[in-house]
Amino acid sequence: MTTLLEVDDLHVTFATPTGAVRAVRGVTLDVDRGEILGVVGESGCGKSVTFRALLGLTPASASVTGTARFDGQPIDTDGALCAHAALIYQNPGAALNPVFTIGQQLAMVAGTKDRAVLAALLTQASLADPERTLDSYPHELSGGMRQRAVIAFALAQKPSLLVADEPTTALDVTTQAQVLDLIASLRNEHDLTVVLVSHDLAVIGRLCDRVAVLYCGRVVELGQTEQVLSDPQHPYTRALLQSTPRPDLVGHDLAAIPGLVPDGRSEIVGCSFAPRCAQASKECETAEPAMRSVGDTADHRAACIHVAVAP
Amino acid sequence: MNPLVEVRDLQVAYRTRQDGRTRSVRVIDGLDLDVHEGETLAVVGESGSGKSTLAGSIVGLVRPTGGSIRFVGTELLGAKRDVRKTMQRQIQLVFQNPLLSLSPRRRVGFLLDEPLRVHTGLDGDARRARSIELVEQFELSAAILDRFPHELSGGQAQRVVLARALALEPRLMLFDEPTSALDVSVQAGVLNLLQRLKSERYLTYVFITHDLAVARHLADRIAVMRAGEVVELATAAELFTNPEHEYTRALLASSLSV
Amino acid sequence: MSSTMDERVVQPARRFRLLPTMTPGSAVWYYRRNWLGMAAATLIGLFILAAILAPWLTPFADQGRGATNLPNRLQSPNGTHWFGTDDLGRDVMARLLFGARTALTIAIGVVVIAVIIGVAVGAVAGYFGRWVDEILMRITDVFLAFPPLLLAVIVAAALGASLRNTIIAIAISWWPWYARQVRAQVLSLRERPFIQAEQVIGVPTHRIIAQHIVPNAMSPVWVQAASDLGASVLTAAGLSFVGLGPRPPTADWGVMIADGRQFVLSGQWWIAGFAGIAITLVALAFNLMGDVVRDVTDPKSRGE
Repeated sequence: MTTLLEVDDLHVTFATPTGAVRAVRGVTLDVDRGEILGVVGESGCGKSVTFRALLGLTPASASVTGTARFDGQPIDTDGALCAHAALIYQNPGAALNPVFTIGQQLAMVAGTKDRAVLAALLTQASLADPERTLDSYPHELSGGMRQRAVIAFALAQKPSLLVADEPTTALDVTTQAQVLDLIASLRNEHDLTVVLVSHDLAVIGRLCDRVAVLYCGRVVELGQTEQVLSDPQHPYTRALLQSTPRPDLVGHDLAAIPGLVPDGRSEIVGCSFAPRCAQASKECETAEPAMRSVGDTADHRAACIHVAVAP
Repeated sequence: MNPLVEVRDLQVAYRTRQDGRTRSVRVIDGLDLDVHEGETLAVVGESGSGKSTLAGSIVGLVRPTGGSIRFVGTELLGAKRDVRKTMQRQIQLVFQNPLLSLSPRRRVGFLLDEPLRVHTGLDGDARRARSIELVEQFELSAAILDRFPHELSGGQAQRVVLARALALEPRLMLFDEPTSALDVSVQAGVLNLLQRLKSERYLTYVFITHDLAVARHLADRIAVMRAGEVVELATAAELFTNPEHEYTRALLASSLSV
Repeated sequence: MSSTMDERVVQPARRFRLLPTMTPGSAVWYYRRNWLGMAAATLIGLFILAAILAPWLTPFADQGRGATNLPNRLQSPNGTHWFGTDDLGRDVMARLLFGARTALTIAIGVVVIAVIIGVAVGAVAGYFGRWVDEILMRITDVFLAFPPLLLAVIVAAALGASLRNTIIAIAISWWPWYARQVRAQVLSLRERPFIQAEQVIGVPTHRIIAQHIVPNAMSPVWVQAASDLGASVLTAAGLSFVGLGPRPPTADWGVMIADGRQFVLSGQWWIAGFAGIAITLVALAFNLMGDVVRDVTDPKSRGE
């Protein structure tokens, strides 16, 4: 079975004093065994919420609907994924308890106090001098080391799936590269499947096999990373790429996307990107476009009625 | 022609207590830098390099322990209060996260009124008119004056912050990671706006950033900082095609582009 | 390409703003989530109304103010006197209502004075730091070294028993808590980007403290103040009980308990009893109210 995780029509809604906020509005995607899937989008698109909901990390007042399957078996969409997956976070400092040493916390997660086992986990996470790190407190470690410690915690849970939520956003450029290389090697050596959530297209481009682009709680484009980044089909993906500073754009204006991301409380009829899209037409506002195969390869899909359909 | 800002042998250190002993931590140790009028200078470095401290020293938030900073020939360190006040009008700083840079319980109108009230002699109505003028220059509607900061989007908030800083018509603008907290598409709009403002008003920009792509997009010259000193200073084109220092090379190698 | 960024602001501006993030609509939402707190709020509302409208809520207003009616003394609750009469023949309900006035006066007086002193001291100490902080905090420590009730008793005894002195006594023993709270908030606020932005713009220090630091440091103060309103009723009752509170003929719940105590054993429970119930309910309600206030003023606890 090549598909490890299937998510079908996931909706996540939060109750707030000013109304219901629809963070995820029908996300459908699949993660293949052994791949690194990138989930990219700007703030508010629902990329983090999708996986946090599946891992059971949303507040009780949030309503989660939809179906999911792990390794072919149906699972609950409100936390059952926890048994098979581990999460690493954007802010490693916040994920670590400041009053316990790394060794103490790792022992709690791994379920054993055997230093050899714990040190081995830290070495797997590319931490030099594991013995010393085991006895260190989080504040004594650098940002990169903390993130690696968090990765070690994740590995201790022996997951089949690793969800990395913006793991390098808070890190320096040089450390970023190291952590990304670490994640790639973990996939190669430990048969781990990875979902990498990020707003940074460069990070996605470097590491991910496939990428799903999210906008306003829905998947708007999905395909092989190279394909999507070199030949984006959905207008939003194109606009996103054109607004990123690149060497060839030095001295020119970047293409900013006009308008604002729709408010999470509003009802959206039709395509969520239509109000800001240069190619929008009347039909775009009536019905939500379905994902259709586009471009040259079969597995490149985009949710737009204006794309050229694959033969 | 003299540089707009001359930093010579700047030293910033602070005392910390660690393991029971008081130690002196040198954040900046003997830094020299010139900023030429009308240019965009990017200061690039990782966390801990001292780049934010440098900006803070120029603007007066941080008190250096040694060295000198001259602005148009006038020494800033240890300057008297009225000198400082005049300088404040001419040098402004924009912080990283726009939503955190605006006082949460005050409306935008109040926040725009403040710099005008402090530094200009205009009366209430004149200030209000000027505030409206300012927000419109930044492509915001006058209605935004009644909003609270948390009601604004990231891009709107950054524009308000810029409007505030530019209300005083400074000569030098320092930006501490101004777009790091913004989404890429919003960042694009802000960067375009900053370029336009610069050319319209003949400003000088100093950009602190860790994002090499942004630095390359905007800067005339780039200074690479590491551990409290400038390790390389070159024009943007030169830096990217022919980096000299090994740290610069390491930075370029690990930076990712799409 | 210009962006019409302002057209769709995240939330529309609202006319009526109790606090920047509270509206009548969200008040209803809170009711559903926290009925206990809302019930407490209702009880407090009744207490305040009773205090304000006391003269019009009872036919025995003059007795509430102190007029005696000895022939009617110690009547148990009946048709005319719903809560009975006390040992001087005064209608107990009237005494309760006027006692509510006293209690409310004390509560507001204490909290207002303690907050003003505490916030001023805390904000100045926190913002300026160094020796200013040291001196102010050492003064605060001196006051904190005394158990609050004891301090209030000492001050009240020194100044003499009266309504005004009760307020002063309790306020003096409570302001240090506010000072500490505010100072802690200010220490962290001082480093925040928006304060630094104000400094860079050149806004004078006194304005920064008054307009930017203090408003943002107040949320723990409101929470503490809400429950202190109740605690002051309790403390004042304690002072009155030992004779250091408002003097007769002022109606006061603590005095009612003190006076009514001797009659409880002979079965005439209603004087002390109703006063005791009143104090308990009001103190409890304010305490619960503290939680509601915290929810309202702290965006994080709402899960935003």
